[in-house]
Amino acid sequence: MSEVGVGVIFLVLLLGLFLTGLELAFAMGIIGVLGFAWLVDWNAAMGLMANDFFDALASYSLTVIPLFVLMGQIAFNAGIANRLFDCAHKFLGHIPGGLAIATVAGATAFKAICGSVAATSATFASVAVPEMTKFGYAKKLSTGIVATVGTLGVLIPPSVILIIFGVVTQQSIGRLFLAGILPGLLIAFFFAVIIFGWCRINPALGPKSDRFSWGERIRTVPEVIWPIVIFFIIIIGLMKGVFTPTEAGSIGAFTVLLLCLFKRSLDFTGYVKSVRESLRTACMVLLLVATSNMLGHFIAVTNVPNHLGEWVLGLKVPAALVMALVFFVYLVGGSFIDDLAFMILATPIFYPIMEKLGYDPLLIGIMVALTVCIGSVIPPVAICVFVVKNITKVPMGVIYSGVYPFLISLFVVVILVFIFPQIVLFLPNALMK
Amino acid sequence: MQGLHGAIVRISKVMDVVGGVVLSFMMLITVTDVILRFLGKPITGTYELVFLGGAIVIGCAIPRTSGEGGHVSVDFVLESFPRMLKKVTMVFTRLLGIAFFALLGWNLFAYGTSLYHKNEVSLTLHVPYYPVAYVLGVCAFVECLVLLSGLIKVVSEVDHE
Repeated sequence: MSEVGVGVIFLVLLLGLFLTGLELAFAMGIIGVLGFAWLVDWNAAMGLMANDFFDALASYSLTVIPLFVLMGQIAFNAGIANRLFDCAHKFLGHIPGGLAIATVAGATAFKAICGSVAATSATFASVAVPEMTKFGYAKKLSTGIVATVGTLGVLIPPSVILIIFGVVTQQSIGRLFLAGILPGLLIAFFFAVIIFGWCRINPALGPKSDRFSWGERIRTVPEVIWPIVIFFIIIIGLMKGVFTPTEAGSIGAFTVLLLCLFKRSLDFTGYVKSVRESLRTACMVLLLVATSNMLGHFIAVTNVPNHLGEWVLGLKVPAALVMALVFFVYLVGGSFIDDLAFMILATPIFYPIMEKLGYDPLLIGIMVALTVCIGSVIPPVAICVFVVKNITKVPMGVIYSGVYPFLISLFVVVILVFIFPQIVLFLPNALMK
Repeated sequence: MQGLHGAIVRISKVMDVVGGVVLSFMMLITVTDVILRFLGKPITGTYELVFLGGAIVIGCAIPRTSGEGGHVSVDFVLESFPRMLKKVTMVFTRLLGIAFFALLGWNLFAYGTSLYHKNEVSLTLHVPYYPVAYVLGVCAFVECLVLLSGLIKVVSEVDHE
């Protein structure tokens, strides 16, 4: 049997293993090693297994992940999100849908220091939904926006998805971070516009809450300034090449820790909890990366990406259609498996094709990230919706009915970014050559 | 069986603490290095300590992450299986996991030994790589125990029913 044939059979076997409930990382490792042994040699496969595992875990470029995750977990456990929401509430609460818009503003600021999609949805489900309920907001609006707002973390740095994309495709993480800022802010803006418009049409969805004096508003501003200062230290440091992404993650985690200790919002137990939760996330992500390296070596031997690339390029169809199909595969694959895992699995196969079609690597990265955004709020595996359901006890159907209007804005941004790549490329090209 | 399960959980927790301490160390040494670099006195070899530390952090976190079901998997298909088929599938996947990590652990030890014989060390501090490979090997074998504990649990549930 040809190498491509073996590759296709083992990839089908891999999908079969996924469906048995075997951990995705284990399945990728098993198929990668067995496939390599089949095509090359058993002893070579055994050597490759240990080598890939060691190289992935003892990799300086990947140490950035536990450190940025730690920064987010410290911010999460210290309740920084509560104070950001409080500030946004005081400024925006009095307009129609103001508390929901405050949720978007608070979450956007929170994303600047916390890269976790689920943690953001969880935090705002506990903080913002009770407040919105108090002021008579419809459940579909309050839970819908809280579930969707977590997706901003995929684009606004420091994003774990963009870090992994950068590592897999060997792109600058600093440039990817800069590339994600404008699309992330654009999504946040569209969310706010949708809430405002929706509540103007149907005021019962999001009634106005209290109006606060300027004195009360100004007093909350320092709570917002510090996280934003930390964000800019990280971004400018990366942009100017003052420090590496790992150093940026360490400085971010350390300064957030200092800030929380200074404000007495985190004790030793809180720090231990943050470290423990960081280990869970970082381990899950890095084990996927390590075993995907094993799978990647097998896929390289099969020549599947080359054949697929040649076949696609020989189809003589518009490049935009190929891109649309590739992202459709990402969306469907990510929805049924896991968005992050599917991205790690599929990027080495599809990235070379997209690059050959002439698309900028940064644009590809942001498009992939946007697809992951959409995947995290659509069925059947909608992590953000599950998190919000578990915390608020609101039925899934109600949450989904609130998610769909915001989903439109995600699709609109995908189209805008595709038509106007400058939205992605402007900041990295202007600030970081 | 409870004793075995408890011992495995305790070992996983101890390894997790080691991982957490090393992660905190990585953060502190990197920050100190950046500050001292501005003063013209960087800490030599920080880069090496951080990437070798990173391997220990993730390796040590594997067993507890697994014990808490933290590795991502697709379970909606498994949940739809009839009870017996679901348990048979779970036994099969636990066995596959054990085989994978047993092979990985064995080969990491072999890899560590080859690093030892080649005298592979880091560039600046000359830290030998082989102990890290051995630590990762131990982590893989502890992961086997965690999966074995899960397997015993699944099988005893089958017997019980």
